[in-house]
Amino acid sequence: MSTLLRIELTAFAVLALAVVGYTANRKVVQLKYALIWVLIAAGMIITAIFPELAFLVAALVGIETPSNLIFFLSIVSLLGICFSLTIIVSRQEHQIRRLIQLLSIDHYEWKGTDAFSANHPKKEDKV
Amino acid sequence: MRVLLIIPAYNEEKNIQKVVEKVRAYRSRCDFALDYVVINDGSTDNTKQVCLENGIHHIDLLQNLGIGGAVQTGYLYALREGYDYAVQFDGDGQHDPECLPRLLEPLVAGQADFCIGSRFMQNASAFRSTKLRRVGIRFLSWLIRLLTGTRVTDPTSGFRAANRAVIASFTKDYPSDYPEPESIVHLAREKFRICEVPANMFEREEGTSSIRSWKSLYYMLKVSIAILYAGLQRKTGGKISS
Repeated sequence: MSTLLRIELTAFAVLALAVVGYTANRKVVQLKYALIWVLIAAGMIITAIFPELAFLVAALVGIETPSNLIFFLSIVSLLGICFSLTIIVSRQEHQIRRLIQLLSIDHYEWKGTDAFSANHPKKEDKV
Repeated sequence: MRVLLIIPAYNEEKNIQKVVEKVRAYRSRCDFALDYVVINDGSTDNTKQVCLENGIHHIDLLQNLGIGGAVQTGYLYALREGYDYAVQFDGDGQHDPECLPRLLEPLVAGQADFCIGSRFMQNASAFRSTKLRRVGIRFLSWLIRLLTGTRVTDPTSGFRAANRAVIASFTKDYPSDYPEPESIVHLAREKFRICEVPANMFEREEGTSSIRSWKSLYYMLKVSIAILYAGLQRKTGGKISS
């Protein structure tokens, strides 16, 4: 691997880490979500500085070329992150739904002209 | 005995007044305390204005939540206000309040926790949907029976009565898109007793059903997967609490 390529890769990885650090710092990304990206950027820097590591690990797990190992690891981690995002979106959808429901009941109920069967509804069941 | 009718309405400006009038007429002569609440699910037509002009009790959802979220709002309301029973009642005029006593009877007698009004039992209803849709409904029945052992002839019926335990369960967890068949599976998994009574239904008068023909196949696929998934899930209550 040429020195130039190494420098390029390292520079790119450092840039990635800087972007992650900057956004986390400015609270654009929450720290708990930024951590995984910090790890990935750190991994990029390490493999850029010591590409021998990639060769070593590839040989260990029986993958012929280190690039395939890197592709494989990238795709797996991206899928993992995607899935965790799906989980987060689902959870937030639940939370938003409940929020809209409770808020609407409390503030956007209009009793109209129909008298109700009980004048003072019991609030025994706390929701 | 206090009963709440949950009437979800999405763009039902032409139907909602007629539906509420029917409920009011029935309410004035029934022998239990009957209330209703219209859940206006972020309608883009004049549903809200019609409700205001006619003194209709309603809750405006801040955002459109879809039928599941709207109905669940009604269950939340029922739980909060301490109703004994909650009945889902469509805002498009399909359902007949005259069938309410029959629907509530098994719950009041303590024989069931959840009671579904079926179009198909004993030819209860003149309106029975199209042939193709009936085939689909048959299939869903079969699938629900296969997974839970519960026999339901009309799993897509939106005319259903719930007791307090089921109301509480629904407030924790209620499916969102096409909730009727899926929620039956949830209840069966939680060992609630489900029963069915014959119920009369009318063809909707105005507007279009939320399930259009070109979407039916996709609907069937989605519902089947949802039912399968619900059937294979661990028996748990809701995951969210508030």
